[in-house]
Amino acid sequence: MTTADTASTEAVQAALAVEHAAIFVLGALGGRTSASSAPALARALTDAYDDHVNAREALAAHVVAAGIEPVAPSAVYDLPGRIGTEAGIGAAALRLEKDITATYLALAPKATGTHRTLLIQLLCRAAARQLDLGAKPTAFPGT
Amino acid sequence: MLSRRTAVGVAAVAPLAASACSASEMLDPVKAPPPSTPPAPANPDQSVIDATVAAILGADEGAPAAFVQLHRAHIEALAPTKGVTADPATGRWQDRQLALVTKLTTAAGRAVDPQLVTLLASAAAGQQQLLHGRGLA
Repeated sequence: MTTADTASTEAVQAALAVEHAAIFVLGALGGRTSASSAPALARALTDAYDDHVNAREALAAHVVAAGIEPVAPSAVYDLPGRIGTEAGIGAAALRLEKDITATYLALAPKATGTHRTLLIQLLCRAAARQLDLGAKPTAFPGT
Repeated sequence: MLSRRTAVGVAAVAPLAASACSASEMLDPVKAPPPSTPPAPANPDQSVIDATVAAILGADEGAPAAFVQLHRAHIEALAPTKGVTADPATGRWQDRQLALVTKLTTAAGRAVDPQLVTLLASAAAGQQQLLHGRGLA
């Protein structure tokens, strides 16, 4: 494996680690959200959770295909602060998606070939999810 | 009025000054050879940039102003070669705008310069956002 291949797989592994954290946090946020009193937020969180699970599976498959053990999730992650209200939960979820968008954008140039394509596709998904959580479109998401 | 002593001094210096003028004539900047700076190397990503901008311009035929406005920012950042023309516009504008996400992603995959990769990837994400906001993706 060349240095470029190694860097590319490391970028995918880093993205996988981010997805593990996102799934944990979104699960916690979704568990604090009422589907009856905040249906739009509950739906956005459920969709985001499902999207991140799919992203995790896609990233893990790329790592396995490269002949490497996928990075495992941590036992626990820090939850964001101020998530006692629906507004706080929505803001925390949006911050998470913005951070993930920026992370994917930083990782994309380090990857090559199909790894880079996958990271950009997941970047696009993260940018779109921001809108479901109240963000406005921008010309250059993640920057 | 100059004193005699000063006048003699000026007279003595004058030939030297004239000589200096002759020397400067030899270094006339208009006639001087061009500096030996080599031309800037060609941007290896320029063909990727120009093809992407042509695709964007083609996709924007008949598209709503929001897309054209977004792409104006993208094109300005990409800095294409002057005179790049639009790809032929075929099919519905919605389909062309959807296909643009893939074209930007593919271009980011081909780009060599990491900064251009970042720019194209972010532009793809911006396009995806606009499509998503309009219920098109």
